[in-house]
Amino acid sequence: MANTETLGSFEQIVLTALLLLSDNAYGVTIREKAAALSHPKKVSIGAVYVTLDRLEEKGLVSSWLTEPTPERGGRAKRCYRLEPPGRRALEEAAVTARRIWESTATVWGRNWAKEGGAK
Amino acid sequence: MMAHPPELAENLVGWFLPPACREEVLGDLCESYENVLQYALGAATVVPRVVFSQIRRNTGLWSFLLTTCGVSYGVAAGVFHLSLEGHPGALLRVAIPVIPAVLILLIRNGYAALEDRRRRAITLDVTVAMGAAALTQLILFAAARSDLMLLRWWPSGDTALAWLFIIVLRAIFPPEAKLPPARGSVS
Repeated sequence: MANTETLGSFEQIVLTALLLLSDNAYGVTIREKAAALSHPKKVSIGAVYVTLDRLEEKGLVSSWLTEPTPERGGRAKRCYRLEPPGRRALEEAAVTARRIWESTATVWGRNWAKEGGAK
Repeated sequence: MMAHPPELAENLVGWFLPPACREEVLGDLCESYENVLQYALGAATVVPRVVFSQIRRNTGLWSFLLTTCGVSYGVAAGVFHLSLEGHPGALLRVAIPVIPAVLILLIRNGYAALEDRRRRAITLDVTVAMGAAALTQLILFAAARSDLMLLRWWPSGDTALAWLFIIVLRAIFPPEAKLPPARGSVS
């Protein structure tokens, strides 16, 4: 099996947000999606920037600047895209998460997760 | 019409943001704008994180270690002519001024841009950092007079040598600013 990056839990969330947002992934939308995925934990946009920066450095995501838009005060957006190594790392994390879920479900019962797990 | 943050607030936040991410961060903060207080709180949490992130990204390990050694040598050069006997913890005390000097150089790494490669900017960074070390020495000396507070630190030839070493080091291995790609490169 190819060697892939090990991801932290917030990195997994940010990569999942990128996967879901596809072409519309930039700071504000990524934070909103990450907050929805992390609920009830709060997500700050600063944490998102730091994580995106680290993921870009690892080569898991790439970014580019768009044209400036009036609703952003004439500022450009930095859009992000999941790169193949990032997709592989996320797939691996998802497989691990599934294994964990299945293992815990054998002890706690499958309805536990369906009911929302630990609240 | 969408509400936008006051120009003064944007300029102030923009001044603190590293150039490599200024454009998109200001845009995101503007898009999320609700009121001045929310904007100020948002900026206060974002700015330190992005500065730290840029420092981490732009600072090479070896360059950082060599710079720290250079600054330490420059500061410690002031006590080479003194006997440290009877002064427990003297070297630790001498190490204190190194911290602000290295911190200044690290923060400058976070704000690295292409123009930072200019010799003048590099010299200014190192001079300010060494100045901060000297100022710390003076404050320490004022707080607790001692030979180890290095009043004879200023004219030390070794200090000048260390200063030159750090300038050359930063000229050869400048902080690598990751500037955004050209606009319109949307794929």
